[in-house]
Amino acid sequence: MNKITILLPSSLLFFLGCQSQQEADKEHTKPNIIYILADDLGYGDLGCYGQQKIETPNIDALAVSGIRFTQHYTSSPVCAPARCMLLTGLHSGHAQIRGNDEWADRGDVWDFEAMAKNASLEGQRPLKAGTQTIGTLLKQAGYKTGIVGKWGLGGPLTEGIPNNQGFDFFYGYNCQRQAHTFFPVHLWKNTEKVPLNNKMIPPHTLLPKEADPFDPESYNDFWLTDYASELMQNELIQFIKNNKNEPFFMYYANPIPHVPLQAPKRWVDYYVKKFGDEEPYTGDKGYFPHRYPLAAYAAMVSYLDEQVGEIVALLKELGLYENTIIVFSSDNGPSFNGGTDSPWFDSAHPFKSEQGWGKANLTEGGIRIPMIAQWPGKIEPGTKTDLLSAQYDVLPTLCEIVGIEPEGKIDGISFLPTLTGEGNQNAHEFIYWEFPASGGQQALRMGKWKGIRKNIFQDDLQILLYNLEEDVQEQNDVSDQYPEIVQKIDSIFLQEHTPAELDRFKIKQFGD
Amino acid sequence: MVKKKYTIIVVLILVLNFFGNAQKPSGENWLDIDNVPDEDAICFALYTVNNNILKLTAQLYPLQKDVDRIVKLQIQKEGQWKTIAATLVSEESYGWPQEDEKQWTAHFRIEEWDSSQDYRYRVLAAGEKATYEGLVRKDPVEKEEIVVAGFTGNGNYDRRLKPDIIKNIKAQDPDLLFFSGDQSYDHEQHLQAWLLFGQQFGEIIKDRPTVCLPDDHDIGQGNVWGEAGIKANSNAGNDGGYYYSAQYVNSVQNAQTWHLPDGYDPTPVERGIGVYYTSLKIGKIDFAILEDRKFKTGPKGLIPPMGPRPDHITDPEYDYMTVDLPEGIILGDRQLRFLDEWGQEWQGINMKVALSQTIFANAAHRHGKYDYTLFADMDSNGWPQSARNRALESMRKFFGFHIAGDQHLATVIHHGINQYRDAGFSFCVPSIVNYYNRWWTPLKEPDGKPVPGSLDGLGDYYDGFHNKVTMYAYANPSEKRKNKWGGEWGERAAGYGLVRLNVKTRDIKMECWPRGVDVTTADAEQYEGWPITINQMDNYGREAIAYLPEIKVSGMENPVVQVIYEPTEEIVYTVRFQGSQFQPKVFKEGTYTVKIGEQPNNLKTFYGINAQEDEKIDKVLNIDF
Repeated sequence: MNKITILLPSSLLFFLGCQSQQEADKEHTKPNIIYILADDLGYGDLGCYGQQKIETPNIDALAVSGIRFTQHYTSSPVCAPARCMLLTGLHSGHAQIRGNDEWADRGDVWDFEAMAKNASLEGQRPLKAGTQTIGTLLKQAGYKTGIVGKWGLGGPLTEGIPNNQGFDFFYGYNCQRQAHTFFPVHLWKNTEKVPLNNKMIPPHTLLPKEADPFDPESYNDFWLTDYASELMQNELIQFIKNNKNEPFFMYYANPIPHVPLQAPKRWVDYYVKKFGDEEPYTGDKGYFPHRYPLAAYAAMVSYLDEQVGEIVALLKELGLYENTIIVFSSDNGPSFNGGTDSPWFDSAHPFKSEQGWGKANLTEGGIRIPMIAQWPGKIEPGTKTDLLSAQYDVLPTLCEIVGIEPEGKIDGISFLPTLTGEGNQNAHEFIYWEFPASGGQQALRMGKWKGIRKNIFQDDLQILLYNLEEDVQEQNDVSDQYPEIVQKIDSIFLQEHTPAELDRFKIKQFGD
Repeated sequence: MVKKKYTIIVVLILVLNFFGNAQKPSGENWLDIDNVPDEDAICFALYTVNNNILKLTAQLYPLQKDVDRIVKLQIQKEGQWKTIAATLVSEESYGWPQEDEKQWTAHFRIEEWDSSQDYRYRVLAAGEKATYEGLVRKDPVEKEEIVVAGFTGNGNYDRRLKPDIIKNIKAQDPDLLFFSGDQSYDHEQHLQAWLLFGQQFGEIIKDRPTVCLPDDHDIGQGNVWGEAGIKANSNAGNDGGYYYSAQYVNSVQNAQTWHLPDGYDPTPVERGIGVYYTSLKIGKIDFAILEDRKFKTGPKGLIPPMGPRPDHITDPEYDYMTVDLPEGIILGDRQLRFLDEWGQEWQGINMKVALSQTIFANAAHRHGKYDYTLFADMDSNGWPQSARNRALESMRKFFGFHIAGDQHLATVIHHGINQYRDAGFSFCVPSIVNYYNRWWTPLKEPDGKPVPGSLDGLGDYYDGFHNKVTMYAYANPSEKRKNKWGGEWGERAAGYGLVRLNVKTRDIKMECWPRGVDVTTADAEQYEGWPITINQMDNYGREAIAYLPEIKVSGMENPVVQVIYEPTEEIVYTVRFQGSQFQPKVFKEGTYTVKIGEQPNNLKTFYGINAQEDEKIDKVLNIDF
């Protein structure tokens, strides 16, 4: 494994060809777009964002040959709503899905045995039929559209499935709960339920009491046969190969490094060697136990990185590299459960990543995410931007790239001028969030200011104010000193919130 | 009064430093590298361009935790800076004994580089707070004279900047800088030493191609016989191999050689130690860049002890035959194959030069202190003799001239294998800061044909291993040479070499400049015995036994000629002849194949050509292109 590090410099090379003529020819060719969304990967989890322990040479290579965003935000701090807003270009005051809703009125949706037999128990609350998504828009623009990975925006038998929401191809987890194991008993390929060669080990199974937690053999039930991540990568590769002659859009909703901690042994071994021995995780904080939880987390990130490297190599092999945009980002900040230790990795660096500050919170650690874009010949290598932007900007950006207009009002602003360094970049006056969970939260980023409400459900509507230029960890509330800023934030909160259609996402304190 | 006291203390410190042990204890903080402001994060940058590939390494100081790790390379086009590449600075560990330090190098490899014109470049780091600017020169293909400056041995008892060298090099404006080894004497602190080297020489390195070869002190040993990378048991190294970690050796090579053209065959040796031998074209000169230490056999245990150290022979009665190991290695099969193949390639090339750490001779009699006489030193490439001869045989087949260093004693030697002067010339350049004195003080008069020059002891001699060497010049440490820049440098025979290679006349002019001299002044003097001018053809000095017919070429000037001895298919030599009329010499009678023309596609081959003893054969081979 050491070899990977040694090879790092040469793998990061960017070649400057005689591009003018080639470029001119490509003006007429629509670029392929691959948008990779990691799951619960923190702002500080990548080498190119300052990670010191986990190695991510391939993703770093994207950064060095492309652009890094340092002020990019998810639209929502958990899986389903983040994905909804990414795909629809609307912020959490306007979006359909504003939280993770397991849609429990269908029955016991946490019974994995039952779910395996009854697809109507799978999945999350669906996107409505006829929703405008990146998928529907790029299809209009002549793209072949695919999603591989974790969907989470509508159960298998609903109008919300990917094939009804603008995607020609789907392979992966329909359901976020199913993604609580990387060895599920089935995955979905379009509308077909594909059985896998794994025995049923329900997520959140603990290490048996009689088992020796220090014996790696005790964990055999948590590494089975068909590893979902590998299967998904294979399908993704096939999708690219199948569509190499026409423009394609691939939304790779990669389920890594979301827990459970399940990573290929070679990578775990690599990090055990690097970090040394450690305390086992026996499963008391959910998901699955692991003999080497720290090594496993790092292993998952490096495996994801390896997958990215494989995609880049494939594009080069197929001659598609020069005309493909690759975007890499994450759905929200780092996790706090399932045996992860985000503070040890400083996964949200320079922000706080402890429980209550990372995933599922509107604090910076929960919503500030890495975003890297690479587009040979269009994006200047090694660029870094502090443009204030959000995932709900991705839809208008992709629309501008392919030359179409979304219908209706979109909250996002295209950041294409920042990517290419050409044209005028329109700026957000603010980025808005509301989150009808974790005590009820609402936040606004406006210039250097961050306003946040943390306990709305307890009727606490106080707005805390932080100056992020001086206080990235949101420790020093200055709302007393800047009442006019707080006032302005309050009025924007009022203006941007619209009541959700789904009861689950309504906030009664706002009169919904 | 206070000021005076201060001066005395400074003088004292200098004196103490001068006499102190050169290898300072490790960990001593003689260079603060950890508190460099972001603005100064880039120490220096080295590059080469070969076959339209630019390779550039930027050496950074350690970056603070939250400073951006991306490093960018920009070039100036039509007055605008344009980013052409970016990379992440390497944070790989330096490896034991510097495992707590990181490499802090940023590497760029740009293909399809336009080498037909000069480009200003700049490196940006630390979130673009730091910039470092230099010049990538165009390939000087139209230049008649290619100038190489050669350096070696940057002893650490004087860590000052080298303003004398910088000024002179800027004035002499060489096309290539060659640092043959021992850029660092800080055995366990290469990172710091390399950064200091960058402070000292970055100003001339940044604007022209540079070749650096790590030698023994660079990788932390007094001597190194690499034996293809095995582990040495002590840092004296005489049992063969490398004492410090493979990672450390690779980190040193990463810093010093990454920017060299891609390796000819980079397959690592034992323990993953990297291999970099390669070639570099500058104008119409092709340089082989050799590693004459990495594969070499170590002496300990292989030969009977004949002195206080396994590598030093002090016994005057010793029999040189007993130390020759026929199977002993210097360059090794891989590099010999490389030289044989590369030596046949002459496309766009008029002359070939080999660069390596040290010369193929043991040309010194006194070592360290004047009173210490050594008969033979196995750290020199005079040993093992058979391997030395094999290397010289390979090099003369392309009329190769050899530039090297390491010896702390500048010499110009014409090497002999079976007879005096039957192989090529070498120029061993003087040390930048001479850590260890050596003297050429033969006890007897030379044999054979005299060599012109005012120095004593020039001419044909056996070296300590009974190798035939013909001394043309040497620069012994001497009390006579106290110069204005600082007596110690002159005394200890410090300086640098300059080689002027004329691609038209094929003359090779060697200059040897002492430290402290200002070459821009009219009275600037070189070391006694220099300059020396030879011709390319002198590098296969072997006397002809027979001749091929005279060849007259029309429709082509200066064709490439390859002579092959048919009975064994051995390539006698390959060279670009001058003019259109010449008579190839050979060294035995028989039939030969001659290939003439331009590689790769415009060659004519003539088989069964008889060589005859008489130079004045009537037969003429007329060849029309």
